[in-house]
Amino acid sequence: MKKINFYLLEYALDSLTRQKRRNIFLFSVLSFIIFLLSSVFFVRNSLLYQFDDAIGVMPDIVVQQLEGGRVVSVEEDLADELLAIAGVQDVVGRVWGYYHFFQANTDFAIVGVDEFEQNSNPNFVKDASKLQDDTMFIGNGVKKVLQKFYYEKEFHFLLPDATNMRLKIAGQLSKDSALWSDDVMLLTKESAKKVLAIDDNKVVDFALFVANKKEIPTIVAKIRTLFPTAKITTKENLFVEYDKLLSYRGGFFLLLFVVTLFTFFMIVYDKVSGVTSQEKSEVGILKAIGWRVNDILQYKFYEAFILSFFAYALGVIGAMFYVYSFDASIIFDIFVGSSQIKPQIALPFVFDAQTFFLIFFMSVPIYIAATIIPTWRVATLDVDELLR
Amino acid sequence: MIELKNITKEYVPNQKALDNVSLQIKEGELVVLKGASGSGKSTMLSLIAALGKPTTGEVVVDNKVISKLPDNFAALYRRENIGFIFQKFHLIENLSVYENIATPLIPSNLPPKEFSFLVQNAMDRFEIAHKKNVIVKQLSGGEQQRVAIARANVNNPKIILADEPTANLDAKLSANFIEILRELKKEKKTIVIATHDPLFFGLDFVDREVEVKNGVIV
Amino acid sequence: MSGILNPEIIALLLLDVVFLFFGFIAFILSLKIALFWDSNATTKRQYTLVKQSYLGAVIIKYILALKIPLILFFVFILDELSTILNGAMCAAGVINATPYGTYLLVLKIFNIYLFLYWLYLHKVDEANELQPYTRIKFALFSVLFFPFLAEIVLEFALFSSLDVNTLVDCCGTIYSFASQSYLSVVMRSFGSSYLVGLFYFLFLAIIMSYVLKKENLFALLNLVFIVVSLATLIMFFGTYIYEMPTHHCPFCFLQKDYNYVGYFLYTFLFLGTFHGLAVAFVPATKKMQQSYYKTSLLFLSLYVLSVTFYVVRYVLVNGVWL
Repeated sequence: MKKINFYLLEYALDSLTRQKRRNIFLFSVLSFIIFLLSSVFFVRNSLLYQFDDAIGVMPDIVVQQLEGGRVVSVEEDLADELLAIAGVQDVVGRVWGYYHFFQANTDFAIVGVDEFEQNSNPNFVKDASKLQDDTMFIGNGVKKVLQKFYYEKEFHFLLPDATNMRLKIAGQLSKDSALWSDDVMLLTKESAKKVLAIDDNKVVDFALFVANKKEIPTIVAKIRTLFPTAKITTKENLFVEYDKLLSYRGGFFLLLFVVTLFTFFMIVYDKVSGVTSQEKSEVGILKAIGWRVNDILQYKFYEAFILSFFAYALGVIGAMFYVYSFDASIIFDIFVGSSQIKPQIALPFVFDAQTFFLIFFMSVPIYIAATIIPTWRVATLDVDELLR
Repeated sequence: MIELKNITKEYVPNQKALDNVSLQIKEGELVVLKGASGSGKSTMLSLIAALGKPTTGEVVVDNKVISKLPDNFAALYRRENIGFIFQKFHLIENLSVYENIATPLIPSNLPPKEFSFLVQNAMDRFEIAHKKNVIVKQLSGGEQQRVAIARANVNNPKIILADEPTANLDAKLSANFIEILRELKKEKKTIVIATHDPLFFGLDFVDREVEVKNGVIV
Repeated sequence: MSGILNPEIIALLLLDVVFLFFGFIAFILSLKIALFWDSNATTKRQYTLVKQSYLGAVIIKYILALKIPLILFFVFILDELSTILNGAMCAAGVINATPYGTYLLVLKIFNIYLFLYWLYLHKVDEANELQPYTRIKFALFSVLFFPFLAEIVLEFALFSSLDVNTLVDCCGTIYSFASQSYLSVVMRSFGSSYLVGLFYFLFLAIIMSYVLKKENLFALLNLVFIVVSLATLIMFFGTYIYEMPTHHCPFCFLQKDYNYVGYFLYTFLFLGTFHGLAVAFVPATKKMQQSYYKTSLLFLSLYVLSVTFYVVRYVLVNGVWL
């Protein structure tokens, strides 16, 4: 293979600094575009990673009963039938739902747990024993909303039968799990059922835990024969759905980005085409003293590559700081939505080589492409014409 | 060594800058092409340097028809054989002396030692080494010409072409240039100078004076 | 259509659009040059063509320079998509998720052979003062443009028809002996030991033809070697890489679990056979031809050694054949 010509590289670098204004302009615009793009991808990766993390404690299979497309509560006793299926390690009847807090026009997620249950994440609550029938734990976002309405120590639920139920706030849910717990009110099953108006002997759905993950498809098939009308969701389904959702949102942003990129392409084309007479005479001189057209093309290619590669590096590094040190608040909203209860979380750092390649392919080659034709035009002008 | 065979050159159709010109220059010969501006002498230089192609006719250098070379090879031929001193110097103004002199060597991708030796050597010979890192724009006319000459000689070409070399110089600097020329002649270089400066006429070391008028040799 | 909003796919399609745009320019220029090039003429048209030939070459080089990393990226993305597609375990599932997948991949590889061949021809042409191949190389590109175009069209078709909700086959089904694919039919009728024998025989024959300097034979054998290598890789050597007698997949070993060894194997095979073909097809100087021979033999040997290594290691560790 051909060796890299470092003299030429140096010459190209030097030439970039000679066209300061134009190149600084192009460099900053490109860096900014790459910065935006990278931020979006980094946030997406982190969310996926966090989901991946959280999914570890989620049930392997969730079985729900639907009526008219809505989840309806089911008899708690059915748990025994599910537990009887070979391979099922544990079955938990779950109680959950939403409570509409009309003063703030927002919904809280109500989750009912029993202290010993497996599906309560051990990190969720610091002092689980404080959770009694007259107390609850709340997520950080819930806390902020409640404080606005001066509910500091306790909260009054308005039950469906128009009576009130008072619960003391025993503590706060761990901030690490904010993405999942921000809008959560953690109650005992007893009180959760009251708030959600679920009969005593019923639950919302069943969470199944399976010892050998490879058996999941078989178990799903068995449940299907046992409860033909049930909706069965596996953990894998969930992950795929989530991945699709994030990719979709990221992709949607990317479509907008492509439009931006096209505009940028035109700007570069225009800027590079607007060759100054100084540049023209430079090319003329170089050709006159023995540079081939290929040498000029290579020199201009080096120029474009250096500029776009450094813009790429700056954009990506900038985005890393923005996302992982400053939590990327604006970009974050694209994915999570800016509801009133906004999770305040530190995004975990994820290094994913594929993303770096992806961003690279979407920036550096595009920039270089935009310079091809203008560069060729100058490089093939006649020396006579250039030196005049 | 250099042979122009029945050259006709038209920049614009039917306006002949050169009309059926033939000329032979031997190796080591110093030829002065004299004539008014627009007479066609500059065109002859640019054809010898393969900067343009004749409309009809052939340019042969070292038994090679250089007027037929594809662009890339023409450039290669220039790089290896020709040192061209332009009327307006044609230096890259924002680069330093060193960088300007080095530009012809860049595409050859030489080993660093050889590269810097050649540049240093050219700077020393034409007494511009002390301004090595000065930006060319800040130099005087005479200094700029020395840079131009150093650049033309950096790859040690066999042929030196100079187009109106003294047009932008005062009398003293012009005299200096004549001395430099004498040196180059001693090194057995083939030299062609296009000029209308009487300073070059009747010099002892000039082998031949050729007068060009309206595109023909008189 | 939901697959198409995946960021990686958008990136690929975006570059496709760029390729299409520039490829088309190069195509038009190539046609003009192929038709009207006359290196002896001093006409204005010839003069313009000379300039345009630079643009054509730059564009083709640009496309090629991107195509090579992009095909790796493409396979990588297919692997990634396999986590989204129900049932797929690796890229094989995604490739077969739509009718276009297999054709697209084959076409991509075919195109890289052709583009690289173009580049080699271009190098030879440029190094000669008479530029004897300018016309031929641009005529070649005007033809080459069509498989290139087909590749882009297929790529759009593939990604827009990916449906994440349907169940696709995993590689286990696609490449198993039980299924009715062409490949498995061929394999059953042959029997693997014959093929493996043929594989090593071909390798020796290639070395022999080098010693005897039979360039056409060398190239022909290389061509056959591509097919036989792929077949033996799927049905025999692959199983030793996976250490599973039933796992016949040409994609899974691209994954991290197998140290991405697939990328190396395919690169060796590609570089080896490409230079093998170049020996006969690129009108190079003797010196360059010699270097093609050597490059070809180097990479083919690397390939043969690598696949053999897996077999030997398995037999040494386990004491039995699969």
